[in-house]
Amino acid sequence: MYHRSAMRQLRLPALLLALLACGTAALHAQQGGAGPWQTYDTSNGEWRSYAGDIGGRKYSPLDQIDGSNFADLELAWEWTSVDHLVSRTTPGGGEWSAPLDTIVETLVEDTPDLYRPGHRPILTRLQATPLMVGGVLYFNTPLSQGVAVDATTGETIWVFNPKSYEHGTPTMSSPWTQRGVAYWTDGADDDRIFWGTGSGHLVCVEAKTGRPCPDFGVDGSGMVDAMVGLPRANREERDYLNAMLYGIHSPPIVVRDKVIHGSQVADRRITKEAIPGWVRAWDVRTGTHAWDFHTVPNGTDEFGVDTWLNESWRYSGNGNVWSMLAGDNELGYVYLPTGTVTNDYYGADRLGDNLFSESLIAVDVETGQRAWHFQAVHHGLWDYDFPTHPNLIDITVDGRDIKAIAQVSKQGFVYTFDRVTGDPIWPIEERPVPRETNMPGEVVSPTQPFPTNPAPFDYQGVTIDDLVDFTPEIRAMAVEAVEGFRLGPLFTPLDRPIAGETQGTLMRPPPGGAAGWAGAAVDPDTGMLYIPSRNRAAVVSLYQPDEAFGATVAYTHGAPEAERLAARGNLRAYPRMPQGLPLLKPPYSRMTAIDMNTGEHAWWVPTGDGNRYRRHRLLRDLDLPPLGGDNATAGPVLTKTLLIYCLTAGGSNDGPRLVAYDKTTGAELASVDLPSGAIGTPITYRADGRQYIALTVGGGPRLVAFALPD
Amino acid sequence: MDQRLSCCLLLTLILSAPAAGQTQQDGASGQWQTYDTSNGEWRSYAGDIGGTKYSPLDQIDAENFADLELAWEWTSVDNVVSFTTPGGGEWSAPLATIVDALVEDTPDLYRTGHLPSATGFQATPLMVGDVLYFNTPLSQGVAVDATTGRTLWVFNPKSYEEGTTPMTGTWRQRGVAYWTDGADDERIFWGTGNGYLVCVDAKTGRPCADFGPNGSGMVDAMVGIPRANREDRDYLNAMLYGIHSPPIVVRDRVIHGSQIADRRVTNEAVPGWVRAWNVRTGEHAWDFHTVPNSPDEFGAQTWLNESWRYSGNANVWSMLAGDNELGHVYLPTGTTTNDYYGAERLGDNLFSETLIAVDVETGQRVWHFQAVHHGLWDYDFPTHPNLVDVRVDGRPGVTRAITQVSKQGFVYAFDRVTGDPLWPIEERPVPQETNMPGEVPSPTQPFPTKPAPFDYQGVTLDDLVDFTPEIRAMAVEAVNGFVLGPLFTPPTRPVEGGTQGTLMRPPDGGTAGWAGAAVDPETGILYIPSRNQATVIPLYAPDPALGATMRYTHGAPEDQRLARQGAIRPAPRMPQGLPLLKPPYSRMTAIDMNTGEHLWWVPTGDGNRYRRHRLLRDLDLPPLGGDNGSNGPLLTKTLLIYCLTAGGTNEGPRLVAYDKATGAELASVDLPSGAIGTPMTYRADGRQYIALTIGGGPRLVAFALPG
Repeated sequence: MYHRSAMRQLRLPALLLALLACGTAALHAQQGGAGPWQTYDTSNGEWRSYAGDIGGRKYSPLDQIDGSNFADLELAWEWTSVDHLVSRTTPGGGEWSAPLDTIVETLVEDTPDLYRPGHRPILTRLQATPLMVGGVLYFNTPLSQGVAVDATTGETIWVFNPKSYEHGTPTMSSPWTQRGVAYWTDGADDDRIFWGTGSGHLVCVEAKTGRPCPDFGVDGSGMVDAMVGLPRANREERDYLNAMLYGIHSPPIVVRDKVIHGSQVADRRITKEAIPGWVRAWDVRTGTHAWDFHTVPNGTDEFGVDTWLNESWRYSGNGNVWSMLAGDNELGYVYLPTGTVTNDYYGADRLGDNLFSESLIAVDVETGQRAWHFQAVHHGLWDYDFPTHPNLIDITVDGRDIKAIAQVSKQGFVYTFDRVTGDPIWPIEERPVPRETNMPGEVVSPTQPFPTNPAPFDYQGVTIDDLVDFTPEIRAMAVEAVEGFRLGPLFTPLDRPIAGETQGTLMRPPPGGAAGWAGAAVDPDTGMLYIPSRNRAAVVSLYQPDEAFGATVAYTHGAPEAERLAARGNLRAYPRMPQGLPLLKPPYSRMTAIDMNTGEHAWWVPTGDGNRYRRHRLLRDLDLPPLGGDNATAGPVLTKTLLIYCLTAGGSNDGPRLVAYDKTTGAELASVDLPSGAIGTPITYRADGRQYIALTVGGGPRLVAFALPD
Repeated sequence: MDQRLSCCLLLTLILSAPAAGQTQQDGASGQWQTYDTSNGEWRSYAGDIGGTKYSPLDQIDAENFADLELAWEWTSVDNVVSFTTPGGGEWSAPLATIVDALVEDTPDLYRTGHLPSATGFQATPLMVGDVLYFNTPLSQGVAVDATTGRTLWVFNPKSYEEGTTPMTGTWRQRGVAYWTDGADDERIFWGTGNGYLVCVDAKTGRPCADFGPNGSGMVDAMVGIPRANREDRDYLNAMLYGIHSPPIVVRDRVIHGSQIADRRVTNEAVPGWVRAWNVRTGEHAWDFHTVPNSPDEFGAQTWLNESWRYSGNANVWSMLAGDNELGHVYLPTGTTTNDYYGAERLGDNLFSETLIAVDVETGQRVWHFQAVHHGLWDYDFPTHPNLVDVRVDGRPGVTRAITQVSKQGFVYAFDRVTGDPLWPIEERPVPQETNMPGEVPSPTQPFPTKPAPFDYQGVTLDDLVDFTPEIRAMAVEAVNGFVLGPLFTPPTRPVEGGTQGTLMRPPDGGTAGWAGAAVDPETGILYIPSRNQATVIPLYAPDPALGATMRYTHGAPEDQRLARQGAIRPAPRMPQGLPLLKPPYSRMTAIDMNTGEHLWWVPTGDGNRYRRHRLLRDLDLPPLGGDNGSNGPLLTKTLLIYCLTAGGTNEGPRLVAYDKATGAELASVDLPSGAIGTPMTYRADGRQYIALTIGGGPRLVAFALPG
């Protein structure tokens, strides 16, 4: 057995040390070997990067809103999505604006097979977290429109519609999702907004006007085609679902003067051939391609190629960063949290550890060279993509100041490293894991990495003891429900359902993860990491795809074939409890606070009372503690004074609400009703002397902003 | 005149009209639809294609008018427009930002001082099937939910990307036209500032793929018109031709007039032919030659020296009216080139300043009436005629009449079938003297013997204001050096030590304007808002270096430059904004078109902006008028509704209800900002609304009674 986190030798170049010494948070201009660059953070009451700052902290030093006045928050304004009324250029050169469905009808009239069946453009998943710079909010919409909105009034300032939906349906199970944009400035007059589109373009517009930057990309378009130059990426090609092969739906990140983005690559595939999820970097001023990081190798002499037996790197794909990135301007690093490679749950066609899948990679932003990396799952079989950006935090461990990076995961671990060197802060041990599987040809990794500290932040694996035991009767139902399913600890390999043998493996955390794209927030003042997580299990329905569809992989999963098989009773998706009763012990979601200086859990609380469970006929008379399960998919936001998080219940009429928690105890301090359920992670900013909290909600969808009464 | 009998007969006619079915038959031409207000909609610019501005709705009445509340407001989509980018994306930003980008690419794109502007939001919406349809100053067509004000669709032909629209009032649009086959095919038509006719699907706003070339839903209305070159710009760097008033749909034709620059330095101009197109295909149906195009055309002999070969204008810049049953469209034309100087176009100049009845199927003239021969006053017909069925002494039965109000203060009334005047119109001698070189004024002009003029005409010393002897002395002093005289006194050019020019009343803006008049089909009463102003046209000799081929002309920017030099004095100046003329400064007049008699007139507004003057505030003056907006009246079953610029809370603008029988003010409600377009009314979900465009946005607002 060998330690798999590479680059362990401490390398802190003198130049970097010098830079660190003169770095200042207040000043927005910094100097480096690569010339001056700007800082993107929250120090001046703005919100300059997806997670506030490029370090992924989701922290703002604002304190006008606190525990004593949070309940007084009022809706300051609301903005309804521009996706409702979109436009099409007409043969005479005019521009026709009409409701989305009307425009889509005409697109389909012209190109009948334009969209994946059941996946025409929709506007509901307004998952973006806005940026706030100079009194303006910047974000994008599910249709990949970029928008600027006045931060004090919600008035639309500009919109740029790249019409990416005219190309077809974006890849993946939730097409028509966008999570935000990136901001860059030269510190003078040049301000730019970047975002990726569902059709795989990177867009660059002037922040002041929204006009595509004529000096960026080809022909003055302000766009680059991010599919060009990627192996097996053909813009015209469609997968067997009739979706595009590649898109971008998470925000790019700006580190120094590079704009870097991951991608969305279909992982419900029936072919073992797929697009590799290389991370791409471009010059912010010109759109000139700077570098790709090969998350799947592309040459026999590349690092990691030996982890792909039978040269399976030649056709394998994914290993993409579909979530968010983080970076460090001073170190000049961008951190890439990658996902599983093709296929998510069946690895017989890609034996080996499959670097750099499910890895955290530190890349030199100037050169694109790997500084260090850590693979969290070897030969992944659970779709344990890193689902969110890492959190950069400066901590003191046993008296030693460390520039650390913490990465939360679907599997419930926090992996913690020195972000300069990649050295784990606390040992991460390779431990043996179950290897038995009925998947033909599968060779399961004998070990997986287990952090010794911090402890997992949510349940891992399923045993009979984990089944719900509110009453003996209910427990009996749960035992009955899991009959025929394979139970086991974390990293138990998947089984395919075989009649009379097994129904498949009950997997916890499920592919959706204990932590998700909502990620975690970290407090730079205390080093405390706050992680929302959920407690669920799933059974992945593996099946043999029909070669008539062009299948070249023996087993796969997912719609629509799995749905067809399930409808015929050939697959049983999940252990079924009667009448919506939970299968597992509570809590069904929680918030955990971990002191990253020690790795110790400071506290955890269930997120919400879980009334939707408690109201059940068999539970309503029991004396149950708060059960959790009211978690939204949106992430937390931290301020000087509060931990803020959205719940789906507990407000007026048990409606959705925005909740303030005590950062030191997890006690709920106050909450205000949300007009509709939260979609994206909230932000906070100060404009005209007033602190706002803004987030996207349903019922529109809308972007809403709360503030204290004048 | 037996008014009661007339009403009964009209009622019979109304009852026999297929109000619910909206379908009418004509043996000759087949089936077509009706565009009127009978079912609580508002299907044509003036409610119906007869130009009545009348709706039979009665939910809002004298009792409850003051309770009206703002039901919704809609802010113009012109404030944020879009630009197609090189990558095929669409960039939306504030108008000024987009215009900056256009100018960056084409520095001389626009006329100086006339960049695209959103403010001239003069449209009157149509209402069909609970949807309002209208267009914006930037020629965008819009559909809005009639009960909520929610935008349903927008079509932006991006006409502003081509340049500045012609004329002084650039960047304005007054509305759209609706057509349906009575089944599924419903279309909205409008003209653009750059001279296209647009046709879109009413349900979606999508350009009709079967209308015009290449599936564009547009026809280029400049093609086929003499001297109309799309690439040409005039000396102001404006386009030569545009459309800014709504087309009209009569039977299955869509017909429109045009906007043609009349502040020109050349004799050569685009003739203002009225154009008709097939509503389904956009195929050109006919042009009516308001300026002849060959020596054998009717009226060619009224252009001496073959001046028809180069003269232009005589366009219908205002609105049209029509009669589906007769198959007529009525064209009220304007002055020919040049507005005030006719030495290069001697003769009567048919069909300028003429009302023409045209067969909508063939484009042939049925009858015509020229109101001004050899026009020298810019007395364009400024608005659509009003069609009304009346009983007139000496004429058997019901007369299908047409009345045309005018800038000059006359109502001209005819049998619309034949063109016969309802009452004699006499050719009377008019002043001939002018100092304009080569000018030959017409010796006579037509004077209706009935109805009497609805506002002051001409200026004498007796017409000057006489609130006090001191003020009268100021007025007499102020007109010193100007030529005074009756209506049709020829303009004069200012001469050093001689005349300062002719004081002209009504002025070129007219006593009636594009707001027009409304007529009540039940009573035959015509309601005319008018204003009392005078002006002096600063005529000057344009510089041949600007390309001038004309000896005299008028208008910006040259006259402004000359005025700054003191070379011309625009009009008599009274101190501190005192009025020059006797009041009222605006009025509303009701005329019974069965008899031609004036029933009443009232000043529109108290005129406090005059009354507050230091020299007037202690006087006991009657209401002075002068609070009129430039927009038109609206008639309902119960009320005459009109907008005033003053008299509301804090002396702000308001929407006023008048008693139709007496002119008494019954009630009013504040407007959030001054009215721009003429109001309309409709019923949606059982509720009557009054909608109009106003400033401060600009916005379209709808009033209704509390829910």
